[in-house]
Amino acid sequence: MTCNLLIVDDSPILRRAMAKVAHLAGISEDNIHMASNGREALEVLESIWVDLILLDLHMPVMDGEAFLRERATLAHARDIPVAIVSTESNQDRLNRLHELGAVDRLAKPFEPEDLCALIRKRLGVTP
Amino acid sequence: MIDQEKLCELVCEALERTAMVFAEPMESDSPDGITRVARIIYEGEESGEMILAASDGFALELASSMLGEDEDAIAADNEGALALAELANIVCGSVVVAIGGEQRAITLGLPEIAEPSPADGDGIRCVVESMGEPLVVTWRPSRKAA
Repeated sequence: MTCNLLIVDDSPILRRAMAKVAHLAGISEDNIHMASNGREALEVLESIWVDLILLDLHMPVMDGEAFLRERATLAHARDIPVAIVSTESNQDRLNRLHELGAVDRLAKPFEPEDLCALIRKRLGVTP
Repeated sequence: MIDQEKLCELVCEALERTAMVFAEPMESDSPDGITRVARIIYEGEESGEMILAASDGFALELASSMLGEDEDAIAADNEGALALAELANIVCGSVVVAIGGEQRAITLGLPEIAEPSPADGDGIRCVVESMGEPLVVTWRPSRKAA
């Protein structure tokens, strides 16, 4: 099964680290896409279908919440599952993100195994 | 309130979970060799600043562990500095949770790479080491919003 994964995070080193974990989780390197903010992520979604988005919140240009609001208006993107990967802890904001379509949350700091499990659960990928 | 011991605990947990780096408290309070600095602010119902300062060796080990790559393939002024900035983000996020961030509106800024400064030592400090390489974390809570 081929699954496309989109990693949205402004930290280049965390994008690389998460991509390595995603590869270990069973995603081909060619199917791992990256964006450094919400605006770039929307551009990626215009050109490819993605099966799961791992989304940071605190980013320049367009943050994660703004991305979710924009995504909700786009027919080609609104049904793509989004997992929040962030230091955000405020319950009101997390509830708002859930209402905007975020289906999962992984709090930083996380262990690589936690991310691996989330990807496999959401994409049904087996080791 | 977070004291030095609690800050150290949060820093060590972030290092272990994020990068499998096992740090210990360092005897020296002002270690030599600090070359890399990252800082991040938080604002809202509480505000303040977190400063992480490390040696090149610590930054390299951190980046190497985060990426699962040999230190030979990593540059202290690139991946090392970026890894320290991300650690600042994570540690600051943990501190915000510890001061009530789940129920209170507190927003983190974006981590920035900075130059070492003598003034970075003011605040609640914790100094840890891994493989003899130092990391100094300084937390400066500044005010409660009215």
